[in-house]
Amino acid sequence: MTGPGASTIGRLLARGLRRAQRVVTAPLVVAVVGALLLITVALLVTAQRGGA
Amino acid sequence: MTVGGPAGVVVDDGAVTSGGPVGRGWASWAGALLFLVALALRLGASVGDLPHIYDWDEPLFVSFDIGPLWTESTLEPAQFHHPAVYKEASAAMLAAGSVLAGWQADDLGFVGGVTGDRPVVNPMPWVSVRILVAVLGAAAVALCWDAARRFGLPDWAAALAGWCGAVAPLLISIAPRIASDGYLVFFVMLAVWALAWTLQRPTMTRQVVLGATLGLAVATKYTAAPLVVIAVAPPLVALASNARRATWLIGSAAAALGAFFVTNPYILLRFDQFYTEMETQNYVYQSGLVGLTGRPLRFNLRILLESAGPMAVLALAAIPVCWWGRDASEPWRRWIRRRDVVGVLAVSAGVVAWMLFQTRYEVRISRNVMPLILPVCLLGALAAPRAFEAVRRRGITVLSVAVVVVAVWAGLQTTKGLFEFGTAVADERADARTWLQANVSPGEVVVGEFGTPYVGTEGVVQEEVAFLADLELAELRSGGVDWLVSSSESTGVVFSDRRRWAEEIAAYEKRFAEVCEWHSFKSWNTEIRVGRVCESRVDTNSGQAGG
Repeated sequence: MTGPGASTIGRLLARGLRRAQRVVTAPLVVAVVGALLLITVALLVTAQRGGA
Repeated sequence: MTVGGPAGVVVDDGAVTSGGPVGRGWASWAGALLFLVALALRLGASVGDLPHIYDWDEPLFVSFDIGPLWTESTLEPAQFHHPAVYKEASAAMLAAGSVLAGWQADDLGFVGGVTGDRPVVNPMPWVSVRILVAVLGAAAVALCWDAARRFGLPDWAAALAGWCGAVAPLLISIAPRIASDGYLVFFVMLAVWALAWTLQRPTMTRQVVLGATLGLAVATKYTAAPLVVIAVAPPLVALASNARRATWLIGSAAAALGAFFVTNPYILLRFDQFYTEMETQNYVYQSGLVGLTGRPLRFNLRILLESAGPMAVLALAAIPVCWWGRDASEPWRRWIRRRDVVGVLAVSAGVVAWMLFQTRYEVRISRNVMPLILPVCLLGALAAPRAFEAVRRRGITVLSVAVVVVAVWAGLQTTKGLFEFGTAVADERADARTWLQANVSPGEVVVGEFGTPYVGTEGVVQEEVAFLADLELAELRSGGVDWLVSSSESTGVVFSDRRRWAEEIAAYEKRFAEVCEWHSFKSWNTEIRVGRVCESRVDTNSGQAGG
């Protein structure tokens, strides 16, 4: 939808998608997923210890 | 990689640089790896002491009520005599927790405790905010790596800077604590990253973003103020008229002030309180604290050397190496070299201004220079490629020796980082606490210095002193104390400088002489000693004291 007949919104969406594809790389995805896993482990360990 | 050249022409600089915002091959994964390693190491310290809080400053810094920004729906500037960004970020995290997990103000309370050991009602709010700080700390490492690449450094130099920052011991043990310093590590590195980003292609927009990041850094802790000198660098290298350069400077200054006052409006709403607190802080830092006083510049340099390792040494060489290594043979390359030199000068000026500002205070505490560790790693990386070239010209033997020295030193830093992680995770205070709970009887008196675990047994009287050297000898000899507890966290700073603290060490030794049975609890480099004050010794010495 990026041809001459495409709407402004369509062009903006396509541009945004292209930009997102450049930013969202495999290393970034791995970093985010890995961070979520590590944070989950930290929360589980803390929850297991309980409060005073 | 491409950089902006003269008159907006995009110049391919492939001969000089190999990095860039989006890398290829192993380099594209280095940032993710650095981030995850840094996060894992920082999360250890975030969880290590819970459900107790060992940091004596952490509860003081954050007077936790859910939503401390408001009291009965009214803005409460009285809570904000400290710069506010760290408190706002913590409050936002807690507010999210109160919605998602139903935390109440009571969840943030303590059940008894002493200064260096406070059992918390619910560890989840504490660990959640610490995780936020840990994630920001790990992101700062990734920013350090990315800033190095934006300065056009080779991938290996960027990775070396990021790695030394990821394993820096101070950033592992202290930075994840909920205090302004941990947040400042991130905001300082964000500002330095914004400098690299702006120097890559100076524009008004980027200059304004740089100013805003500096405003946020200062709003996190006022000691970041000397860093604002870095904002001068982009207008210096930009190929623009003087009027446009002046506009950029004004724009960044306005953005800095805007970011500062929007996030920290309390300074205007309660200027009197801000001023009083500043006076208090000035007084505290100019007074004398046992073990934390004297020769602040030398101390701060040592902290940076210990934390950044080989990058700190390379950082010292950054200015001469970049100055003499510049190449003015081609017009576009001259522009790039000028950018590099100005970048090195700007970061160096920020670091030096910060260090000099700290020397006005007699009290020196390592966390005050902690936010400089990553910028120093970046400075080291800026010098590394040119230093490598200079060494290579001297022959393969010299080059091999230099590479081995840096590699071994970086390995040593890694070991120190892992050691620090182990110290944070291992809990010798818990071992000592369990032993005390089993062996101290109700009615007995325990006196401990900072680092002593909270016994919490009903009927046991627990008294605190800052240092055992402060304990009245007469009280000890009168039989009023049954147990002494000493921690290397307190004694370490005193016994490490026998000449300076000779009086305090002598006082310690007199009190230790009253103990005839020691029990030691060690983990990594921390030791807690529990001493029973023997009755026979008390009788003898009581007589001496009486005589």
